[in-house]
Amino acid sequence: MFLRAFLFSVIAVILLLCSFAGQEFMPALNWAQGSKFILPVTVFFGLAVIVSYPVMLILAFIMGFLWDARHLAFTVSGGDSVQGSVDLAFGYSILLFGLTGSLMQGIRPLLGRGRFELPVLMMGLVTGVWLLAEYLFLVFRRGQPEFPDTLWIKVGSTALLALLISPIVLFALHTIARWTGYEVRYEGLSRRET
Amino acid sequence: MKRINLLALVIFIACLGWVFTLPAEKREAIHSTVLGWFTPVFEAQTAIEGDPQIESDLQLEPSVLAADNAELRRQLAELTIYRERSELLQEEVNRLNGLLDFKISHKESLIPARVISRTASNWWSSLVIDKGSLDGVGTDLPVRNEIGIIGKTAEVSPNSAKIILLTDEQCRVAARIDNTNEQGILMGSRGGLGGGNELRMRFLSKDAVIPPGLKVYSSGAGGLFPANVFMGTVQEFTSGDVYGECVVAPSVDFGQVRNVFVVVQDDDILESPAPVVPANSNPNGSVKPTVPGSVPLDPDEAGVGGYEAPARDSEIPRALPLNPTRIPGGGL
Repeated sequence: MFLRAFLFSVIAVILLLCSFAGQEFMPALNWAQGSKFILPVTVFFGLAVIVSYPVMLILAFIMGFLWDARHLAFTVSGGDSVQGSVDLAFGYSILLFGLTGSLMQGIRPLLGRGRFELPVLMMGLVTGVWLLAEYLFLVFRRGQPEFPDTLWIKVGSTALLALLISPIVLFALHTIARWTGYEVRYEGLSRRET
Repeated sequence: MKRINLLALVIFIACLGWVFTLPAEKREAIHSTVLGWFTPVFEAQTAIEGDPQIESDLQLEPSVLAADNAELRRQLAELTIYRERSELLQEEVNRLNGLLDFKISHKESLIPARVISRTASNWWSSLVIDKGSLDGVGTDLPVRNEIGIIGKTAEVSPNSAKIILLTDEQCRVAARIDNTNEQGILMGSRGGLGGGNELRMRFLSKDAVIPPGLKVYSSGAGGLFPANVFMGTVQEFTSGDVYGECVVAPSVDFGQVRNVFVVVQDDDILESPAPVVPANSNPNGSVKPTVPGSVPLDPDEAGVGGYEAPARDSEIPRALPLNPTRIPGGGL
C-alpha cells in the first residue's frame, strides 16, 4: 500500500511539473480579460482531492515555489518613480496553495465514493477564490483598492474555464490512480465511535 | 488530526518561513534559474507557433521578395549613413554638455532580441526575450522597439530575460506632454485589466488644460528610460482633488510585439557639477573670451571654453532623478 502511494505521489509531482511546461502553450482569451486554462492550478487542485494531506502539502510547496519563481516579477526598481521594491513576497503562493489545497481535502470522501460532481464544482470555485485572493494580496501590497468590472470578468471566466477542464483532469488522475493501484481514502477528521 | 498530518503541517510552515525570509540575492537567483529552465519550453513554443510575418513572406513570389530585399538594402544603406551622422551629433552633444559641466554623456547600444514567450501570469504583464546575461542584458534596462518604449528588463537568465511591460502597473515611466509644461508618471492599469489598451498618466497639475490628441513622450527625468521617445496619445484628461490624470493610448500594440531592442547605456553618468573656476577667469568671476576653436575636447576641462558660462543652477534645466517622496502615492 505504501509503495503504491509513493509511486502515485512521484507521478503526481511529475504531472505537476509537466503541467507547468504545458501552461506555456495555453492561449489567453483576450475578450475575457486574458483569462486562460490555468493547467498547473487545475492539476494541483485535482491532485489535492486524491492524495493524502502530507503529500498535498508537499505538492502545495512545489506548486507555490515554482509558481512564484516563474510568474512573480522580481523587480529591482519600479521604473522611473519607485526604487527597490519586490511586488509581493516570494512564497505567498505556497501559503495560498496550502490553504486552498486544505479546502479541497475536505471533499475527499465524495471522490472516494466515486462522486465527481462536487469535486468538479469545487475545483472551479477554488480556482476563482485563489485568483481573487492573489488579486487581494496585490491590492493589499500596492494600496489604492480598485475592483473594476473587468476584475470580476477575469475571475469568473477563469473559474469557469477551470470548471470546464476539471472533469477531464479528475478523470485522468483517477485513471492513473487506478493503474498504479492507489486507493483514494479519507484519512482526515472522523467521528469517533464511543 | 492525525499525528503525521500535524507533523507535515509543522514542516510545511517551517519551510514557508524559510522561503519568506530568503534574502533578495537568493530570490533573484531562483527567478533566474527557473527562467533558465523554462527557456527551452519558450523556444519550443515559438518554433511551434512560428512567425506569421515569415510565413506570409514565404507565400510571396521570388521576384517580389527580391524587390523587397533590394528596397531593404537601400533603406539599410540610408540608415547606416543617418546612424553615422547621429553618432557624430551625439558626440557633439556630449562634448557641449561637457563644456557646460553637465557631465551627461550618452553612449547607447542596442541589443536586438526576439520575443519568445508572452507570459502566462494572471496579474503581471510581461514578455520573455531570447537574449540574456550572456548577451550583455542585465536587470533594469529599458526595452524599446522602433515605435516606442516596451518596458524594462526584470530577471535575467543566461539565455533569456523577462521584460515587465509598460502596461504593468509596476513599470512607471517619467513622461511629458508635448506642447505643454506638464510632466507626470505613465503607468499601466492594475493587473493588466482592460487588455493593456490604455495607460494612465498621473500626477499632472489638476488645473492643466490638456486636449485629447496631444502626444506623450518620455521625459528621461527618472534616469532609467531614455528621453523623447514617443509613448502614446492623450485620450482624456480628468482633474482630481490633488492632481490631474490622463488616459493615454499607447503608441505600441503590445500584443503584436515580436522584436525589441534592449537599450544598454555604455556610459551614462549624471553628476552634480562641482563649482568650476575657469583658469582664465578674472578675480571678479567673469570669463575671458578666447578664440573659438580653442575649446578643449576633454569634457573634464569644461569651463575653459570661449564663452561665458551662465549661472547653471538657475538658468539651465537639468535632468534629475525624480524623488518618489514628492509624488503623492508614488512610492511603495
